[in-house]
Amino acid sequence: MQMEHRILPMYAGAKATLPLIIGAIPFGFIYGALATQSGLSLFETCLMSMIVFAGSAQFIAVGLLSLDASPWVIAGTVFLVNMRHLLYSAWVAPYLSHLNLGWRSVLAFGLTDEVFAVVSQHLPSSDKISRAWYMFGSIFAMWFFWQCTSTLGYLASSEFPIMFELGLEIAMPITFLSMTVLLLKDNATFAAVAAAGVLAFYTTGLPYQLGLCLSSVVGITVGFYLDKRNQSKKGQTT
Amino acid sequence: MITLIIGMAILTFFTRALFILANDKLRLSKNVTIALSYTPPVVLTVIVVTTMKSIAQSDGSLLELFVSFSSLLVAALIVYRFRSLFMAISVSLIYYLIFKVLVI
Repeated sequence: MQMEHRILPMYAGAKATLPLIIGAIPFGFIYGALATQSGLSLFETCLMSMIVFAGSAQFIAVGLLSLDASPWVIAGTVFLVNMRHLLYSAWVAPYLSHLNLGWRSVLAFGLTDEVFAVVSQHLPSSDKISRAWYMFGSIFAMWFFWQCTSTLGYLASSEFPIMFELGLEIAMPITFLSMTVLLLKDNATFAAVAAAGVLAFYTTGLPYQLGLCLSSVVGITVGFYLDKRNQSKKGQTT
Repeated sequence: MITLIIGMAILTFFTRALFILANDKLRLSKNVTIALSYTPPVVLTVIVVTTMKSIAQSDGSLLELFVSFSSLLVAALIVYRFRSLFMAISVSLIYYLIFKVLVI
């Protein structure tokens, strides 16, 4: 009974997450390497991976640290970037409503992009008993590999500082730009990104890195405005 | 630094847990959902532009700048064509390192 409802779904969740883990391995490694460059200690690097457990937010935090941004700007940007998790949380919530507070807290902690990608396919067709273990298996596998790769990235880059002399500082913009290109799904996204990029170029001199926040807010507003306009145009034509 | 990391952890947990812990007592408006969908590409772009401007202002030769910016172009073209992050990052970093070691 225990095997059927706990271990098997947990294993299935971990197994379904494996392809996404393989894709995340280089990111964990690069995060560890960038954390060294930003001046974080091994303990701080591992602590961030353990308790924050959010790839994009961690990347952005170490990126902003290397730009000497203030803690308030870092916290504000992390919050902004993580707000997409509200969408995941809203979607997953009905499937977990039968669980107690402890279980829901654990599963909420691990609701990363990768875990959401896996469980969003499984939850609608799963039974109430096994779905929590399935999600837990997915979270545990992702969390475990994230700790291993970020620690290895940190150790490798601090042991071999020549990696930075060769210019690993370019790794972060390359990674972020590649992620952005994947997210360019329509004209509204393209316009949002272009507006934010141009404004960021001209506002980098503002104090406390306020240009980062201003450019982000303007970019999001442009995207939102064009999205609504496109929707109303579609509404008129149909 | 530890305080910042704990703060980040709390903020991240808050965004992931809000609806799960509220148990159907909260719902996200459609407008907020639309605005949120633009956050990741916009914030990533802002950081790329800021970092590259800082690299452009600090790095010396024109050749070094060309290699830095062209490696970004290589990554963008690969990810656009093949939709593979891993391939884009690997190839553009190899391109960058080869130029850095052999040419500069």
